[in-house]
Amino acid sequence: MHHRKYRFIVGFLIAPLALYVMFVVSPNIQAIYYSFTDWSGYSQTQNFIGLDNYVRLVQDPTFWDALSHNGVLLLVLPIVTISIGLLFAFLLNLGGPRRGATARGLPGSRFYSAVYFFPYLLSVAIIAVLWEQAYNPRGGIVPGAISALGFDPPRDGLLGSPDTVLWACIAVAVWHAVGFYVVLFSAGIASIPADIFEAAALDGVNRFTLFFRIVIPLLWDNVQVAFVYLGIIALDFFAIVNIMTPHPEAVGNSTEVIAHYLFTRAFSGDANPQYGYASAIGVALFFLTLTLAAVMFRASRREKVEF
Amino acid sequence: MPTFSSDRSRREFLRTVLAGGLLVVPGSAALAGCATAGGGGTQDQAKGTESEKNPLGVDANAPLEVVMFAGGLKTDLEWVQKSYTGLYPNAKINLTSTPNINTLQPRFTGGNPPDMVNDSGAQKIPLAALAGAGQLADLQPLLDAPSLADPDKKVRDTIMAEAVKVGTYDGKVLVLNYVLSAYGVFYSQSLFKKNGWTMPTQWSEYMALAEEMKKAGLSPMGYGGVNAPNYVTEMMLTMAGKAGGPEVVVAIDNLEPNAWKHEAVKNAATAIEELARKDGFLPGSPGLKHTEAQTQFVTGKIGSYPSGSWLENEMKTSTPAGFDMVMAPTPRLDSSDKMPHEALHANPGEPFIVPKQAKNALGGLEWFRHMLAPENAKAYSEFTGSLTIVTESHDKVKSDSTSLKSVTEALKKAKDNTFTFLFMDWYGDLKKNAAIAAMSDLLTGRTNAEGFINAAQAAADKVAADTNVPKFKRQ
Amino acid sequence: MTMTQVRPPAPARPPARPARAPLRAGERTATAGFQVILAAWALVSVLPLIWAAVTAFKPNPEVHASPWALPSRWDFGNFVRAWGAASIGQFFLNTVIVVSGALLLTMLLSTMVAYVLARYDFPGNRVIYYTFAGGLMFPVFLALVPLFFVVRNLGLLHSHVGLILVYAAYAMPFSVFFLTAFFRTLPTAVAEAALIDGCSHSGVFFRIMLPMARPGIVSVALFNVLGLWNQYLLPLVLNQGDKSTAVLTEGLAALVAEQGYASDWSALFAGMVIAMLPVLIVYLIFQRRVREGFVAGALK
Repeated sequence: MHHRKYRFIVGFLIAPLALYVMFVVSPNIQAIYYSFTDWSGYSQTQNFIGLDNYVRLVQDPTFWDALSHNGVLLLVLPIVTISIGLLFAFLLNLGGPRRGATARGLPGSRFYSAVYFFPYLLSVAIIAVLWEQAYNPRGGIVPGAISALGFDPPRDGLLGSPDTVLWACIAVAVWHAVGFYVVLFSAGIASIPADIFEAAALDGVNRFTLFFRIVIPLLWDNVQVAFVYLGIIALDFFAIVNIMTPHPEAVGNSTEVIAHYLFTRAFSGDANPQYGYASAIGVALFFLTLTLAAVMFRASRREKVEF
Repeated sequence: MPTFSSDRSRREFLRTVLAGGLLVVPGSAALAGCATAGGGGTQDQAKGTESEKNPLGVDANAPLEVVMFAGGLKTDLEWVQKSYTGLYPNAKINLTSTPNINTLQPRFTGGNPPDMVNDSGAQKIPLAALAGAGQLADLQPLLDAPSLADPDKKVRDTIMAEAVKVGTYDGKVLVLNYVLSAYGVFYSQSLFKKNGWTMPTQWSEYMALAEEMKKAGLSPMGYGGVNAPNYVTEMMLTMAGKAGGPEVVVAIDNLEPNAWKHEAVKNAATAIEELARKDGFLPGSPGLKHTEAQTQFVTGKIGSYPSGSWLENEMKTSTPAGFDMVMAPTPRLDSSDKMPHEALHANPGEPFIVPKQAKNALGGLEWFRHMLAPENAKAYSEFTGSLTIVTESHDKVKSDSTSLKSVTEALKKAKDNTFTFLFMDWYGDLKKNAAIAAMSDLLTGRTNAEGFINAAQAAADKVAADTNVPKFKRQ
Repeated sequence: MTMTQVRPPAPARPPARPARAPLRAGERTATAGFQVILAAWALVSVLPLIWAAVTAFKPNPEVHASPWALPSRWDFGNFVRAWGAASIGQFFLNTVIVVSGALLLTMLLSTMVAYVLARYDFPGNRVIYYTFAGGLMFPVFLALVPLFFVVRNLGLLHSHVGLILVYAAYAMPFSVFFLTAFFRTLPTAVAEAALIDGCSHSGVFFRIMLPMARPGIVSVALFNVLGLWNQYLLPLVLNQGDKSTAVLTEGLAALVAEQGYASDWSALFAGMVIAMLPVLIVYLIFQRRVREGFVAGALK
């Protein structure tokens, strides 16, 4: 019996593991090795230099700049996206006019959730190009909308000023993601037993209370899943930055993130390429993500609301 | 499509898998043995026999792979292809173009690069890195070979001496920049005529014209702050070079202490600060990419635009008929300048290289020889509106381009008074921190001229002290 | 909007209001306010897309003029230029081949791994699990250069097979992570009964567990379709310079980058529309199922 079981386990694992080790694990291990060398990326040889790249890393102000922006993203992106997603999911499913005991959605909710999902379907590369054009201070639709509402759009363009550029990038990421979380949370609300809402209605609970005291606690599991997904996006954030602000230094480095800094060090035609150093940045990013995952994992162990 | 063939022994298969998955050092000799079909090594480079017609000894049957940069001067060089296959009818030419030249990076480290690369654009592979890694073929044999058109002349004697100088790394000619780029201030001849304006020769006069332009509802200048504020740095350093002589910018290239603090650089930075403060640059410029800002120029929102001689070709699709784009030399700071007003920042640009490990490196050199034939250079200029380093071709070029005409004229008038700077190609971090970051701060009022100078000097000092960056020197 | 505090549960519950009671004035304003918010976000979601679509028809000089103006003439030539520059037809076919191959492979291998990891205790289980989950945390382009050599040494550059294998390998961390969690939520009784009845381990997997796991599998498959369809970094490096195996995103990336130098703005917008259209059309046809599918697995 046991013999059969292990044969089965090995049989099922061998092909996937082989593929994964060959194309994912081994290149990454090679990259870790490079982080201990002075390889430029172009020579055929490299010297082993121990921890030099890591020593340099902790003394590199740009790295800390980038790290702090990832930190901002890690806070703002999930909180804003999840808040909007929760609010809309609530309004669509439970925000409708109150008639009797059953809570219902607002009219048009199907249409709205269909439309909100559009941006999520497009690749980040395309939406970054689209929004770069939309932010264009000359003829872009965002400054156009700002003036149509009677305000002055920022003079240097939203992507041209250190005060606005990071927020402009975050807005794009939120725009891209919200639709998915509306749908996710809507499904979560749908899986809450109806008698909970009936009981709430009988108690005369208003929408505000329903939202904060009932829906959010019951959706807490889903919120955590959302945090993990959005956290991964916040720690990468490469495509948006690279397309919308390819030179963060032009805006006081205020959009430099670790992934983009790694890319600049490894590949950019403007910098002196230092693949070894770039690899060290990548390894640092890996451990950062790992730490975060551990923190989230611990946090998610708090007691759940059962129904 | 390669698949594992059944006749391959199990051991060989395992070896391949191990080589693919687990060996650490790429491109090592040990690995070449394990590589499957197409694995490159340097030993099997194509070679033919030398003859009068074939001075470089090219293998007439070897295929040739050329990778072009798909940028402002995009062309498939049909005339060169024709010329090459005319001589070697059996050679198959595979010419592709990409905007991301740096995707070739692994092919360089892996030892199977293309035979000829036009290494240019924002995603180029830094030439200094390739040179430093010994990846580039010595172009000496090409320079000493007879010219395609006139066997009595060496290739070296048909091109600008400056081109050889700029392409020299540690005493070896490794790069040839094909296109002769001149920098200056561009404007619409028809617009200027309509308003009765002329392009001033001195900065104070330009500031007066700037007021006129503003009255006419135009921004005097503009720039692409998102990716190319360094074109304003270019203009500023041209002004500094004219004022203090080329040695000012040479000192900057050589990372000499306090090079940026030279009086001429200070005055030029002050001039830019003044223009910025007086709304001389199109509002929104910091939020535009360079082609977006240039679109504002050719659609009549900007009166004059600092750029290089490729501008007309780059903006071809957006420029209305009758715009008549022309270039004037950058105004000088004042009459006490060391160089005359006609002096130009001009240099050979658009780098072409032959990778040392290319299968058909000799073919790459031969392709180069065909590019440098005056007839082919002329065809290039007529197609792109840009002159080449092939001096003999300049007078033969026939073109309706107003820009090309004005550039040719300006180069003639400049005579020997041309100069260039190279630090942006040599030191990525200096370009980043001085030419882009500090200049952006200056243009948006986040700093003043003095702050700019200090930031730029600090960036230069940092690069000079950085042992991870290979250094270059010039005269 | 009424913002009263929660009342403590009343000892005697008031009777439920009659079902068709007229709406209170406060309810009506609240409902209207919510409608405005929802409509505003709908506008925010689609306006940039509509703007891009309209702009794609503008003659080049009008692109950076007023964002609200309609094209002075509807220029279909923009699409012709964009289509031609990117040889979309060939790339489309390549993308379909590579994505469907990679999808099948990913789903097969990931469900196998996830099932074993979720349901069997054996030494090394955790190590293997974290090896896969760790793949989520590595930035992809760190591995790019070494990966190139791996693929080259296998002789699989510029081939559909090479891309399929690599795509599948890089889609595995997410799929395994997600599916392992999913398999853990499934009831064990049926599988145990089947095993006792003499069904083999793989028989249980294919005949019992796979059908049970369908919602999770559909979710992961949808995420993978989207992710693989939009994959851009991997083909850029593994396919370079070879138009015969290039995928759609490479073509569009090239188009976008080239417009950066050629200033053909309307072709850029047209290219974006061409890129967005297939996904949006497929979505509009299957939209409810797509949305439900996406979240079905995530809810567990």
